[in-house]
Amino acid sequence: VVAAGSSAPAPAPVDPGTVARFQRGDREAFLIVHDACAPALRPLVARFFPRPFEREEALQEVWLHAYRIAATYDPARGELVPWLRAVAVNRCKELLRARGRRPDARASLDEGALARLLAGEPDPEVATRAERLRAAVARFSATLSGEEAAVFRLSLLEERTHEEVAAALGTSARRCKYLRSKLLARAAAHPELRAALEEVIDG
Amino acid sequence: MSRLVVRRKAIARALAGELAPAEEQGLRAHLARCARCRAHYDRLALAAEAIATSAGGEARVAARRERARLEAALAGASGGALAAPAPRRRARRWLPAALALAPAAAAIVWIVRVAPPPSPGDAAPAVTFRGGAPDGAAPPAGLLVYASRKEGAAGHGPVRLVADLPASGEGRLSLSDYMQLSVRGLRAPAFVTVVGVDDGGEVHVYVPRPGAAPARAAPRDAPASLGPSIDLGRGHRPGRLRLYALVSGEPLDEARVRAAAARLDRGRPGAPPLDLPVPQVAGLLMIEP
Repeated sequence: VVAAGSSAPAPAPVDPGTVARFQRGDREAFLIVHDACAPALRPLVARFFPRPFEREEALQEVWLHAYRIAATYDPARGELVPWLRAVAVNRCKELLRARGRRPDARASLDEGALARLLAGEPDPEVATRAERLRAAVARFSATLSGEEAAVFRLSLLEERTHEEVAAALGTSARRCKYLRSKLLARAAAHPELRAALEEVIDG
Repeated sequence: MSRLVVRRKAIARALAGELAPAEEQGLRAHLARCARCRAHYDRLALAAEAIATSAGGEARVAARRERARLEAALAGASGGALAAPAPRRRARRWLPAALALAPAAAAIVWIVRVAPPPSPGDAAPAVTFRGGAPDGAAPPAGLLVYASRKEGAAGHGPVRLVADLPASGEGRLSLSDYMQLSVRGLRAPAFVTVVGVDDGGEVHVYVPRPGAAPARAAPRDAPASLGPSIDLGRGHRPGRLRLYALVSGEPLDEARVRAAAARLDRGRPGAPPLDLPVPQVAGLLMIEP
């Protein structure tokens, strides 16, 4: 799912020169590391913060913290991604503590799942939830009319811009924007999809 | 159009990746304090991500937004705490707590820690100072916060130093105090604007005083007062006050400063940098009843 459910995708490799610049605090190198490794961290942070707004805030905190302490990363002691994962887990726990909340039960009690995430291994339970979600999305899209289905595919599934969608469908960008907004609201309210999404949040 | 409708439209635009960083920051500041809008945002964001990832890929718009916010945060912090990461040093998580407890603990015991001998090529400092700027990114100035207890009609008690920002990171005073601000260590003549944001989002512009012409402060090592004392018993409430000194070559527009302060993401811990492209010194004051 979304970040909350999926296993971490394999991070793109980062060359040693970029890693060295990352350690020295080079912003460009930091952003290269972010682009390569962010997909590996999102599911991890989502284990602690399944709701999107909180997760996005936590991800910012994690990356800014990683930037601040980049000089403490020692390549001789291990790969960059496991170091980033450890930084993310520690920072998420600190954020939860700072907000006066206990770490999520799934993160604090299910240490096996957390260990799998730290190692970048897939979680079967999460994979099952993601499969249910995919099925719910497919059933929702089957309820759409021709124009709606086209906008759904181009705008929401493929995430093309309004202008690109408008050009592909021979309509106005304004109408595409309107339809995208309506479709997203309908998807969020679709009973099966909604139930699958709540399952993601509730674990 | 009602404010709710405007915000819902802004949420839809944000999820489509259409908001400018400043607009997005403003929206997020609202979401941080409005549970209803946040729930709406969460529902739509989850649905959008679920759809975008249902084909097995990544939610690219969400990833782009994450990167844009990160870039904005790094750019907005130029001259601030994120100007450069800390130089290589060993993590000492206990140090902030130890520093806070040091005055009391010093009466009982001296804690001596011998730093390991530096290895060749490793000139890392042995101590991490909380709130201090890392090497190579010295803060634009130091902001000193003094307080004195109100006594009688116009009198006050002895003056005490409450915070030395950014080094001390935070300070503690009360509604029964007068607060006095000073700046020191400016490297060049500059205008200093001091603004505070409390937990309720109320913005206080302390320097320059309302209606007063901005004055250029001279570079000097000794502290220079930034104006008369501020009565914290008026217009302030107990709780956290994020304090910022903004250092600029030209006077800052007060409305712009207020708008940036209003956009501050108060959900973030500490005193995150204001969205203004000027060097900043920040810290957290705890105001007690």
